Amino acid sequence: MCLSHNSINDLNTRGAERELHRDVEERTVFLAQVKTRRCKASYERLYQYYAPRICAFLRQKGADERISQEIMQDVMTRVWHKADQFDEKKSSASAWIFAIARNRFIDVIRQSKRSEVDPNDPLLAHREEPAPDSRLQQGERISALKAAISELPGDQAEVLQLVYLSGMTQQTAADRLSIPLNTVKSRLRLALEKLRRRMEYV
Amino acid sequence: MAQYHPDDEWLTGYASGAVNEQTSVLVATHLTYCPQCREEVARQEEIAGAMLDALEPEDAAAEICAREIAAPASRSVGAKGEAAPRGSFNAIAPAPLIQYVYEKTGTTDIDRLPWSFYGPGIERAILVEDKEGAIVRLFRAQPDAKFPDHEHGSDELTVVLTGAYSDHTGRYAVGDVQCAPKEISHRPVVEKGEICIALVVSEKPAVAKSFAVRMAQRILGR
Ligand SMILES: [Zn+2]
Repeated sequence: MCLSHNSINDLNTRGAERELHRDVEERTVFLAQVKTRRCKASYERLYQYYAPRICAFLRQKGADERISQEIMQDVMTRVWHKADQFDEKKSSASAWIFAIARNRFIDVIRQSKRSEVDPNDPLLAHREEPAPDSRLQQGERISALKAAISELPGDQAEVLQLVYLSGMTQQTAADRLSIPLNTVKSRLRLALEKLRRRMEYV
Repeated sequence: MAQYHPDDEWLTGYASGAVNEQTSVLVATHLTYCPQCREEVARQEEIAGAMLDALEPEDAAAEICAREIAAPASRSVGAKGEAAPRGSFNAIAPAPLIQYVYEKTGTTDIDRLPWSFYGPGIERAILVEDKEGAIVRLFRAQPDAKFPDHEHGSDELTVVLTGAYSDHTGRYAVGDVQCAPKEISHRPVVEKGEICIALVVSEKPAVAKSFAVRMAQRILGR
């Protein structure tokens, strides 16, 4: 049995929502429940939220409506079957699902292969010292990040959209915007620096 | 720990999915050796995830939901390529590169790779040479071997798997990536003591075009 949504709502009304969200974002909790308890109610919540967004993401990358639906179904099927590979300490549900959708697009539409690091690779190198404490819990990091994205100047947000959602190379983004490649690079660098700072500190 | 990292553009392209197959395997190889770049890619995936959240939702078929769960052995899940068997290459290469080399050559035994003479003390095994101009190869060079002074027809990315080499830009050891733009001419010299094996990818800038063409063909063909 998994935590029902009623009991999550109860927690919320008891004012524990803030606590819960500070540690882990809500959808990340749902995905963790799919992973540990095969919770169908949590999966349905994830489906309702992500299916339309994955479709929008794929349309932005140039896939037509029918293919977007097909790939989305495949992505959501993987979310259910591969949930055991999700690590809520390493990423949020949205970042993990973004990566699956990105990879399925590469596989199906570009018919190209994508290589991923194997977390169990015997050659995997680890930091000599632990990663600097970000001082922020995941839920806080994500909300700080979202606020920072919405505050980006229009020209930087535009480059970010073309690069991460449309999946363009920086050269293609430069061509699309009719600006030099170096301008794309500097806008992206400025945006990433700002977002990084906000993800690390309040 | 790696001292030389892929340019920001390659890391971003890896996180966003814009890089091609051979750049993807080269970056994944470096990431295995480099926790800092892994963190950077994870951070950029968080950014992309937050942007996914902010997208205006498209209508999606909601009734599929129940079917997803009801079909445990979906046709599309686990449809991966055949897993590479263990061979001598496993001792020196990260998992994504072992898989890549196996898919291109059918072996994970270093000595059975398609080596050919390249220069004194230097062998080369071509893994891919496609019509679009991408060339992917492994080099195996004896200690002290000197590569001929050469320029590139295109940008060239190298990641070191064993040993080390130096040129006028620096010393490259295990996990290091050298991004040599096509303008530079260099003369790598392998260090004493250990055989140097490296993966080299020549990047053709026309990736985006071939991708667009392929996508258009696929969509029109349906
Ligand atoms: Zn690195």
